Amino acid sequence: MKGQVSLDILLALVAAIILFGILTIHNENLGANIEETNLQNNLQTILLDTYSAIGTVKAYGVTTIYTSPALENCTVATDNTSITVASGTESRTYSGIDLSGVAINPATFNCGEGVSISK
Amino acid sequence: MKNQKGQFFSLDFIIAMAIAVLALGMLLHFYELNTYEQQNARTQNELTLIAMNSSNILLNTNNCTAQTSLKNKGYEMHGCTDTSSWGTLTKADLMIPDEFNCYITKGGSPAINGCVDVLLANTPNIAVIERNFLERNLNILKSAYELCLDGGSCTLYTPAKLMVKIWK
Repeated sequence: MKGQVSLDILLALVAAIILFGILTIHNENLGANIEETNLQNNLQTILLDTYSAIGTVKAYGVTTIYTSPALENCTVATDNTSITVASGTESRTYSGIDLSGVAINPATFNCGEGVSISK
Repeated sequence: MKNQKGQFFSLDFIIAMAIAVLALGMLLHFYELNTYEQQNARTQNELTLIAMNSSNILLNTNNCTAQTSLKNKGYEMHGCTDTSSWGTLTKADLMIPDEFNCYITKGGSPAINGCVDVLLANTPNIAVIERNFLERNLNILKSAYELCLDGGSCTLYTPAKLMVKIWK
């Protein structure tokens, strides 16, 4: 008389392999997304910081030497109506703002570089 | 007894798998919720910063003006705002970017022609800032100013309330 043969262990192994495969694919996608999101968040932080510094100068009429947070291969470009922070193919922009009365020298600079902002 | 079958798999496996899937689902849901909250906080901070910046510009670009006799004494009219030109200001003047909406009031009435956007009921993130300030749209006389300093009847300024609402 034979004893019982259970497939539990085989089914569990198959399920574990499938789950592991799904998690690996998910992790790869997640890794790529996290890298992109981190870059976007960093650009957004630099944009807000630069915007805030220019806004303070515009409101209070002070002159300041401003240094933005540093980020590799990143530039900040300003003109009379916008601020753009870019790195590689990613960028963040605030447009439609009046910066005509504010002097930013130089108007385009690398992230982490000191610039003069005055009114 | 010869034809009696044994079990191939037990219910234990089904239960274990159900628990494993549930645990994984809860973990992913936690990550998703965490990411959403972070994004929400970032958006709210951005709106608050823009609202604060625009209110600073609004309250400081046109300070009250003092008559020559008062200016010559070295007085600066900080903390007092001349609102007579507010009506003609635009979003651009207040450094509110194109992608944002705004609604700005003084004493409950719209104060800026460029900021009368309609706020929809289901807007998820809104920054609201209220600031009290002193308003005076005429030149300030030295005699009136000194009367206030002396503790006499002071009618130089009108206390007013500015409210700035910013949303995407």
